[in-house]
Amino acid sequence: MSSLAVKPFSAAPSDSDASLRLPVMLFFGSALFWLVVGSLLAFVASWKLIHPGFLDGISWLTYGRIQPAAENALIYGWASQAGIGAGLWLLARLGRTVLNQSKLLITAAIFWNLGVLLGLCGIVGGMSTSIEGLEFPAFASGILLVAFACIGIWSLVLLRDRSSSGLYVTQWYLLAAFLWFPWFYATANLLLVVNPVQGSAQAPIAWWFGSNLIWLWLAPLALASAYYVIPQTQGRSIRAYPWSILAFWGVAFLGGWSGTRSLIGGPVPAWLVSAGVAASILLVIPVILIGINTFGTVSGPVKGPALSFTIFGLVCMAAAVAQNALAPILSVVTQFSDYVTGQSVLVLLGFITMSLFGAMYFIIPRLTGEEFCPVGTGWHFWLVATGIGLSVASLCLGGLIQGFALSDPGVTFLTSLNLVQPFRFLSTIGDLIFFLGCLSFAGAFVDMLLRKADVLPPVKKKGVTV
Amino acid sequence: MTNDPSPHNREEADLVESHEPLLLESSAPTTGSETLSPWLMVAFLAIAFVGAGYLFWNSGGFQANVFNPSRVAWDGAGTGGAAAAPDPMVVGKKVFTQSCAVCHQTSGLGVAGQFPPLVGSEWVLSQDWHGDNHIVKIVLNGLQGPVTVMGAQYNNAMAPWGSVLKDDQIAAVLTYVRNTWGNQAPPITKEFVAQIREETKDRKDPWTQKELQAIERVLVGEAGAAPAPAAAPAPAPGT
Amino acid sequence: MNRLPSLITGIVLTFAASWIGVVAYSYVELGRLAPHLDEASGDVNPPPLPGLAEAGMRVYAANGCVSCHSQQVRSDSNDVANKLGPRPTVARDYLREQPAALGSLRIGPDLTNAGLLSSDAAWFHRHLYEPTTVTPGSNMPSFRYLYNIRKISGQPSALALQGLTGPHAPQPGYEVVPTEDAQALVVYLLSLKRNYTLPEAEPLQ
Repeated sequence: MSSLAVKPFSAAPSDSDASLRLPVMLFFGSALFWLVVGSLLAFVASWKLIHPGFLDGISWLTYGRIQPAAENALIYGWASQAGIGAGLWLLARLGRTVLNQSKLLITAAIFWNLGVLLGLCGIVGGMSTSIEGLEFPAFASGILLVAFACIGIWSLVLLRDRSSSGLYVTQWYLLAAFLWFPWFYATANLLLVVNPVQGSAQAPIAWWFGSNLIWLWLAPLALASAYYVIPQTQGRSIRAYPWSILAFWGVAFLGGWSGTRSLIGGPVPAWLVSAGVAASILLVIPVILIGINTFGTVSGPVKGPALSFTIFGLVCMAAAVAQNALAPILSVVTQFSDYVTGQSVLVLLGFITMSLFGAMYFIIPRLTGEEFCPVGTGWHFWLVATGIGLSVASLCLGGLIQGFALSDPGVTFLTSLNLVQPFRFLSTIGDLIFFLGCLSFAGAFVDMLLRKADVLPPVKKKGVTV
Repeated sequence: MTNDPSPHNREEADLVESHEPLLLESSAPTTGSETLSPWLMVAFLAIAFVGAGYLFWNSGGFQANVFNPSRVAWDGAGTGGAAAAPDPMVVGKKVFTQSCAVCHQTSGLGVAGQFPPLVGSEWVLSQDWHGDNHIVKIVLNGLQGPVTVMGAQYNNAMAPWGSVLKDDQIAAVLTYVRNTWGNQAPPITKEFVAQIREETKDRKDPWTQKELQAIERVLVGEAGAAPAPAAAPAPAPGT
Repeated sequence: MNRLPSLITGIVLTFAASWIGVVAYSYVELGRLAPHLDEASGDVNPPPLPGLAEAGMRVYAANGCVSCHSQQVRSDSNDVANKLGPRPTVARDYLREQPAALGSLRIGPDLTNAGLLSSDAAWFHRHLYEPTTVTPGSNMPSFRYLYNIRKISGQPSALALQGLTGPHAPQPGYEVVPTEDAQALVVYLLSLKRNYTLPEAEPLQ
């Protein structure tokens, strides 16, 4: 264990905040826009699953296009941008760095959004690559990578120019995520989309990409925020801090390996799948350590939106990792059933999204000097928490029933379909509630910007378009 | 232990505007007092053991061609499941369609007056003076001149297939022909074909009925016992 | 004290482990797989695809069929007993797929062996046009947008779908003609047959 010390701040954080205000708010604002779009699309897709006749016969509204569009809007439009915004702010804050070149970041943000927009148009327009999490056509992914190059370079500059020499674990996660993302995103695009390898080699690479997207990109962003938000709102030190470094290396090493877990019994060399299962089991260790670091730091009642959302996210992370570790036992039944969907909702919405909400509740008031309306915040929390809970519970339960039915040679496919329909209906209600929660957050965000209009004229403009 | 709990009660606006230091000093690592419970270490070891054990027992010898670890023998010679021996009836049908059906027809009935039928043929079923060795010889080297099949006369030429088809293909197509269209006769083994091929390796011309009739009939089952001085049954190539 | 270089080195190395172990390994070991020549039968497996099938794959991808349909028969499961195919699939089965649409969900039935379900192209066309008229209770959306409804002028098209029922059946004097996309998609679906043997695969059931 290293003995990393993070020196106390002595300079004004407000300088770095001011320099980052516009780019970070731009990332947050557009992230919220895509969150609303993505959760609406997700709801429409779920609805189409139980009512296939709804808006059918229209090419760009078919389920096979809307569903990946929703997922990509949430991954690249929402979670990535919210995470980038939070990450930049955290880097500047922790390093007490003042960013001089916010124009470049603003340009990058605009390009990133352009990439997301073009990518989503590509998907609904029939140019999807059909690889999960990588559906954007190559030109859109290219724009994302170019935009990311600017962001990534600035994150490195922020780290290099930091005034405090120590490195806090939040900075570890952020540095790693900003280095890993372009690497695995470019690798996967190159080998699966631009110049695809032959079909037999694609499956492990695609699932490797999928696990990297979660564990080496979105999760580090969420964890970086959690490691900052929790001690700061609690005013306490991280419990058993040295172990957070071990947890970091655990996630770093195991994250990429864990993806092939989803191919149990599949057409992939057995050892690759077993390595994925082993990595998923071992991932429990760093997650326990993260749990000790974070939950161990919380004492007393959970107060304030930043902390509640973050805690909710971490609980979902623990649940998701436990589910993954049970894959070798459960997969015979759960593989290919709605349980898989439930798991990805738990990770992407329960863990990543909720943690990033927490980060935004922590950061935005510090950037704008204005608090969120508590009523809106309350609605937001309970709506999204209920929506996610309902979706995950009904998908996992329905998925188990569907899984048993699917694997029973005596049960026809249509029978299994009828068994799972009520649960899909409940999860669709969950998606609707989640969407309403996102709307209320977007509303609170715009409301806050309007109240702050005189202080932040440029942001106001953005807020109105959102 | 320089870990002073924060006395600061943050007001949000206060944090932004004031120069008050953030409380990051409190996230400096704390020492000794927070070592984790030894039971946790035991739990971690157990988890690591389960993970490593799973990988070890399901690794399929870390071979790229093993897809189902539970079907691998532990001698490391892992191929996913026993390499399926090709079904001679399936292979034979293919060979027949490609090489034989042009003359003998897919129905095996031949063409009256030109190509003799295979259905019910005593040549195919090794009846009367015909043996399994004769039919293999015919496929290997061909047949020409007048022949009698089921009482009908034919005078045509059959091409030699010995240089085109491998032993197992000849065995498969003969097995197929002898067990289709209502025919029933024991399968021809590729070892038997190899043996005949070895015996007749100096023969260049197609056979005639007269020549064949002079050769003693041999059946597959007796082949091993049959005195074949020069022919040590060669291991079949290409398997 | 600047720990940044050593931290970056560690970050790169941990990532490189799975990058080499999963990606480079797959690229080298699986990417070089060649079709298997069955010496006994002279067959090349997996068999070459009919011309339109490759275009059909792109239609399959563009419309997100993989969102609902998997294409893998698992070993050590009931997949073979459930008649999803005569044997579990192996890597080489996907040699000619671009992309390899293995899928992760079975919202609809597995399509590894769709070509063995029916060899009748018209059945697939009717199913794509209005699924519930062919499979009552199906929750598959209609892919009517892959078909043209047009007035019959002169000779009816030889490609026109016959025997359509349901609310979207054409009016008298009109016919439903598959677009090139629909034709390619059906050729691709018909080509999905993993009923050959491979040395590394389990025997056919």
